[in-house]
Amino acid sequence: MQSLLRWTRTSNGFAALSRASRPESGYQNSMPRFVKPTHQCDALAYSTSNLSTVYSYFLAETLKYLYLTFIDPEEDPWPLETAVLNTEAHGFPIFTWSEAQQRRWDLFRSNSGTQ
Amino acid sequence: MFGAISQLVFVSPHRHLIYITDINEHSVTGQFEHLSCFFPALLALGNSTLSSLTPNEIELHQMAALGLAESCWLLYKDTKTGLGPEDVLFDPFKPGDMQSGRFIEHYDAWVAAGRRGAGPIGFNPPPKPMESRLYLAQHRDYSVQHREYNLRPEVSCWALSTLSGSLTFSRLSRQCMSCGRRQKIPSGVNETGK
Repeated sequence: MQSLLRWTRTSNGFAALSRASRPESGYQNSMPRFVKPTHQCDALAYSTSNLSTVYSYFLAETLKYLYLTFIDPEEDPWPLETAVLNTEAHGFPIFTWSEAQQRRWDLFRSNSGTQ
Repeated sequence: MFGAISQLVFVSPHRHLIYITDINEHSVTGQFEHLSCFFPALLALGNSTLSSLTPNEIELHQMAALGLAESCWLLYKDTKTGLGPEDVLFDPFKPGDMQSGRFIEHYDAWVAAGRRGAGPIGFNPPPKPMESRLYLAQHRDYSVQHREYNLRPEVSCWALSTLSGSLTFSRLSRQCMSCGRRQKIPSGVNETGK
């Protein structure tokens, strides 16, 4: 987590790295902190290591799973008994059909043949 | 699921890292992708939700999940940034023989020998992060293929610590939690870049 903050955080967001293994020539070291790029293209011009890229799954999954990993289990907003996370970690509540809904929509008839 | 574990999960020659790779046109590639680190979470989820699994299957899935998740964590710890590369290429267990070193063979041998210790090869003792920062493939058992860090999520870290109620993933979740504690040290980590 510390590494993530240290190496991917830029003035205007979190950027992917071109080299996870050798950071020496990176954005953070080569660029004085007081120089603030006004948009991503400027950041790219200074950068040899940070890519001008933030993937959608960073917000959808990376941060969400980090949050869920380190949260107190008692404060977990989505315990696995009540929620399902789909492919890009969008949360869906687990629900059951009420008896009235089952009657109204003829649920399970094809399975049991009696209800 | 047994096919994936028996055909695709391998052990590295010296550090005994457990990794999952691809088979392309009948040949084992040795490539271990960051994306494959979802697989331990899949095994853990299956272990905790599928009632049809036998105790032997649960044990095998748990061993494979723990070993794979450990390797995923080590790929982070091995780098200087502390962030894992996109994919790496593992050396074969026996030089030149990509078919050697399947995890299932080591697992079977461990079972046949009476389940001694914490687990099959790769668990006794568990692999350690590289202390030297020199980037030598022969010491690490792998070479980095794509060096990018693409901000990818670590679902397994979350899943293994969340599902630990039904499984014994305590060691790994402790590692994850220690990462979390370090994060809380008030040190202005984002500012220095050094």
